[in-house]
Order: sequence, then structure tokens, then C-alpha cells
Amino acid sequence: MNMEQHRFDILSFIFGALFLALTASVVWSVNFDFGFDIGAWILPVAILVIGVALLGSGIRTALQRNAKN
Amino acid sequence: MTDYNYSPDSSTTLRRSDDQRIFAGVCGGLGEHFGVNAWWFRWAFIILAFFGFAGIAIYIASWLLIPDEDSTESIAGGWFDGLDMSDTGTLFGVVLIGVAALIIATSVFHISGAIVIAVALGIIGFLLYRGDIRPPAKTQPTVDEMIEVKEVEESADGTPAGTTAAVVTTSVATKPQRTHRPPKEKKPRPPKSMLGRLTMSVMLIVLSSMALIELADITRIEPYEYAAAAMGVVAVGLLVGAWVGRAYWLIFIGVLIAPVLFFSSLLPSIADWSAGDPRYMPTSADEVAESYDLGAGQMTIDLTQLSADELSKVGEIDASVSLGQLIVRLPSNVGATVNAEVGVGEVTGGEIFESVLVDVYQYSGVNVEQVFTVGPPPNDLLLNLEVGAGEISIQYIGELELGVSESKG
Repeated sequence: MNMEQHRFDILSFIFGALFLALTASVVWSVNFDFGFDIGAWILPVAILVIGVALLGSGIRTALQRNAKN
Repeated sequence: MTDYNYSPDSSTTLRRSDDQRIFAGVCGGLGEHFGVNAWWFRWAFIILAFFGFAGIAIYIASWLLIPDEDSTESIAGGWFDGLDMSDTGTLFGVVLIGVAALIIATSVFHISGAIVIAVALGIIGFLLYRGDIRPPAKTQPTVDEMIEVKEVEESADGTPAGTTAAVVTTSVATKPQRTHRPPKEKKPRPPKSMLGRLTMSVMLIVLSSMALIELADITRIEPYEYAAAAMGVVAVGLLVGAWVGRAYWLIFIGVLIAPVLFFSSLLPSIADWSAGDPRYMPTSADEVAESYDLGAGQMTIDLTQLSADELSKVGEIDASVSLGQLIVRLPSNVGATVNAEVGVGEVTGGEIFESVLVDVYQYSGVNVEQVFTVGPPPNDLLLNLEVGAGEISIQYIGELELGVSESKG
């Protein structure tokens, strides 16, 4: 039983972020009504941000590889 | 990404046209490629533009994905030059961006999901055709690699290095000789992480604390708030697990909590909880309540005993049923504006002739929001109707004149 530090685990991160966004989305939708449904935006925007971050990481790796070559 | 399977000089190569260019040369290129008039494609894009701007989206995607006439690389190909699609993170990224686009297009901009999926499949098909997406190739060891392995093995055995050439010549002349890879070392199993247990402990402590707060009458806590707290703790546990400790089974717990969270958010507030099949039939404007609420069951608000003048005095009625059916019966020759919201279920409009109800309008789905008018103008009476899960039924005595002014869901 331990809590060792390890390399960034993408699967845990994605599901953690998605569950957090889902929770925020539901809580916001139930409690706030500004005539503009922000709750409907939270989940897709969170997914989009995670997707862009992962793609950005891939592009950065590719650029570094190209620079080395 | 730029390693295409065809040569730029090939007659089958699809390129954006310079000669038949109006905007980016996409239609001209398609026309030249398929040997038809480019205007067929132009009209197809124009017509598709009326279906959720699909034509514009496809045109822009084509512009980015099809190389220019004097180029071998597309604009998008240049952006992602060297990008490794077999990398898990990159692949996840692309998939998540697609999912987000789908959700935003369907639920926020109310573009038909079928069109978005069709466009996405079309783009994926095109990328497959171009060879931008393909399964990772199984790499065969080259002769040089085999020589290298053989030399390593022989030097380990103590065989003179000079004999290598003869061995290699034989192996190349006949067939590639099987090389023995060193046995893989078994990785020691990592010690069990305490992250999962820790997360579950925190979750139970948080939930029991919330229950104690409610039992002590400090504040009222709704069912969805318990689910949200549990989901929040699981989410934080997984986020911590991205760097420290590991507990994949928390994903399964989160997936189990997700539907509980969603449906509990549709339930009524505990303060408003009531059940039954109440029926209200006011006979004068004074008897009409400002709002009617029911937790679960069937609530009927029958306004057929009121004249048009009396209903115009009422002005606005709010009614909500959390779980069940909400029926509003309207007399003939009375116009009303209905603002209907259903979490999960349907909105129906029906005509009543000689006590027989005939549904003439039906709209079902998730998060249905509809504003429509019923009966002849002026539609002064405003009905704000809300159902968490179930049905809103507008029943009109006589022929239903219905106009949908806004529809979401």
C-alpha cells in the first residue's frame, strides 16, 4: 500500500476531468438560471479543452522530433 | 501524416484546382478528379449549407485537407507534420475534440446530430482514403537489423566476428533466419496503491457528514447534492491518480454514479415533494392559483370552465410536476402561449371532440424546451409548464391551432 509518484497517467486524468466537469455542469444547471444555460456548455468545453491539451502535447512532441531531425 | 500512398503525378490524385477556382478550388478539383462538371459539386455544397451549415463545414474541411494543385501537402497536413497518431494521448485528444464538437453542435447550437455524425464520418473516410489514418504497420526487421542481432548473439557465444559475413550471406540467400530475442524480464508488480481506498474513505466521510448536517436540521440537502459530492470526490481521486498513486476502478465507480447524478437532478426539491393525482377546475379567475406543484403523479389543470375574458385576467400560470404527467385543458376560442420544459419525456398537443382526445402534436426527447402558441390570437395567457420526467399534455376543446415559435431538445 503506497502512493508513489509516477509518469503522467492520461486515462485517470481524462476520466477525472470529465467527472468533475459533469458534476459542475449538473450543479450549475440546477442552481443557476441566467437565461443562458452555462451548464450545457461546461461538459463540452471541458472535453474540448482536454482534447486540445492532449493534441497540443502531441504537436509539441512532433515539433521537437522534427527539430532534432 | 504527409506520407501519402500515391505520387503527385498520378492521374487519380485529388488536388484543389487552379483553373476552375472560385474560392479555394475544392469543387473544381473534385470535378477534375471525377471527370464531371464542377458545378455539380458547387450545387451540392450550396444545398448542404442549408442543412445545419454542413456544406460550409465540409467545404472548409476539404480546403484544409485537399492539397493545392502544385503541392503535395494539404494545409492541415502542414500543421500536423510529423504528428504521431499512434500516440495514445494524441489519439485521445483528436477523439475528445470530435466528441466535444458533436455535443456543442447538437445540444448547444441544435444542429441535427445525424448531420454532424455524417460530416465526421465523411472526413474520417476521406482521411482513410488519403492514407492519413491507418493502423500502425507491423515492422519487419531489416537485413541490417538481423545482422546486428546475429553479431551480438555470436559475440556473446564467443564465435569469431569474421564468420558473421558467411552466416548473413546464407540467411539472405535462403530466408530470414529466426533470431532469438533475449527473454523479457518480468517487471516486478507495483505495490498496491492506497489511492482508491483513500478516495472511497473520503467519499463516505463526506456523505455521512452531509447526512448528519441534514439530520441535525442545519440545512436541507437534496438527493442530487449527495450524488454530486460523491462524483466530485471520485473525480478528484482520479485527477490525483494522474500523478500520484493509481486506482482505475474509480472510473467504474464514476460511471455508476453518473446516471444517479443526472436523474437525481431532475427530481423535485424535497421541500416540494408531494404525490397523487390532483385535479383543479377553477370556475372563476379568483380561483386560479399562481402556481401548481406536484412531486409525482398526474396533475390536471382544467380551465374549460373559464371564459376568455376571465382567462385574460389571470395572465400567467406556473405549473410543475417532477415525475409524471401534467395536463392542461383549455376551452375553445382561447389563445395561450405555452412555455414547456421537459427533462426527459414528451410534450403533446391534442384536440378534444365529443370527449375523445386526439393527439395532433408530439415532441419527445431529453431537455425538451418548447415555446408555442395554442388557439387563436391574441395568446395573452402565459402557461409556464415544467415536468422533470414524464409528459406535458395540452388538451384543447375544438380544433387546435398551434404554432411552434421555438423548439429545443
